[in-house]
Amino acid sequence: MADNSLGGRRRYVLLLMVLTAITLATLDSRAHSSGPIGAAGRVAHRVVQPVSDAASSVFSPFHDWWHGFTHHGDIVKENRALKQQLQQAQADARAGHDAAAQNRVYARLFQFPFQTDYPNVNARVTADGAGNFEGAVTLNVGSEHHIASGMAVVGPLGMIGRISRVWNGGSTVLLVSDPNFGIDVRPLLSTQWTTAHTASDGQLKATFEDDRTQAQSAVKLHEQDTIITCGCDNSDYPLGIPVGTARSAIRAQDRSEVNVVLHTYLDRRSLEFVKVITWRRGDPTPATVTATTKSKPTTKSTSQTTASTTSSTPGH
Amino acid sequence: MPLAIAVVVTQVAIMPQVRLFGVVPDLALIAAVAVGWSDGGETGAWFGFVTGLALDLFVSTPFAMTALAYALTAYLASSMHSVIDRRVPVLVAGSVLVAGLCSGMIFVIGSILAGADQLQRTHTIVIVAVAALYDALLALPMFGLVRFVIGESDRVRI
Repeated sequence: MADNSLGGRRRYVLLLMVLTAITLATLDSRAHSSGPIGAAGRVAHRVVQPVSDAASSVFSPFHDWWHGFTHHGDIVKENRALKQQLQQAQADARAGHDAAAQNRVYARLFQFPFQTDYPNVNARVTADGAGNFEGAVTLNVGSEHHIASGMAVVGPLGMIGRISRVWNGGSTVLLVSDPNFGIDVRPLLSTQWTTAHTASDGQLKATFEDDRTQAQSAVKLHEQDTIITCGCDNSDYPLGIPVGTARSAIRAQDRSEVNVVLHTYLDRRSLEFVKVITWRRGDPTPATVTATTKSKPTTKSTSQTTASTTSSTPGH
Repeated sequence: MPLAIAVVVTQVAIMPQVRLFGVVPDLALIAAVAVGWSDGGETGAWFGFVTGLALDLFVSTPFAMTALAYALTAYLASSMHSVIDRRVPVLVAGSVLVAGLCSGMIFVIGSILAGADQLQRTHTIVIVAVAALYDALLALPMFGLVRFVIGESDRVRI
């Protein structure tokens, strides 16, 4: 009799836990990070951050050693390649200031203003995400630097993710490889835009609507072409941040669309120093970039975003 | 409570630094199973639920799914402990391996039902399997630690 009572109580407790979990999951999915659960998460991050930083410092030499141990061959090859690159870079440097000046002009022409013109905060990656099922890293800067959720995070070559959670002293970046990541993009050499999403295999994919009445594709995009943020009306990201290059661009059989798989600039293994672009929707665009963004039409294949430098018009 | 806090802090601050094939172990799950074996299934389930809930604050997967997975697994594991000789290390590690697989599958299925479609891929199963293996590797030291902290209970277990 007592066993029955005990068993009944245990089943009741388990049922209570299941119902509580379902309720909390529902509340969290509705409130996202703005609700009390999100607030609790920010507090928890803030509390644990010092321990994470300390652990990161302690384990960093072990990481380096382990990486060297497990990737010895790769490191030797990489070292040779880097030496060659260094020699090449030194030769380039000797070529004089003309090349540097020319680079600056090209940078403007190709609308990569984030390198110099968008306001940004330098940050260091202190840890990987805590879970096994997310593409996220933790940065050592947070709300004390006016960083907010949704801001773009760039690596040396371009976009690597967006801020997903912020607290005082740190923030979490949702990487471009996470299937929850999405971003409005356009080809560098075209004004057509679309929304790219990361698929469950971690690849960022975009579909550009095409003009099926034309034999030639209306989407001016080829493999290896650079894809940038479009800076569209409702986009959280400023114009011109490189998102990746087109690994493949395949036109659908019915000619209605062009499917693009992007090769992004995220190299998670060597990801250490990044910049958080503190530009927010509505902020002024830097003087070197004039973005004219029209309202979003019903079809994405219509050109709507144009960008040009103030100093000169792009040659495309 | 101190054990739960220590396990959660270790899990979120230190374990991401010692990933095995890119995967972190579930220290809190091992601890919950150990608590369940020592103090009974209900205690283990509560321990798993509370630590899981705390861990859910640090990840972007659906909230409370880790708590649910740990609680159910700790309860189920405690109901099996009477047929397992805890003096045999391989059996303890094997039990934690099964618990890790069970917990991982509960977590994945629950998360997918809650809308985490990104988990619907083959690689998810690989992650669950590697995490379970990692759990099994850490089973003996974690069981020893839990036994040291909470001691052996004389209460009637499930």
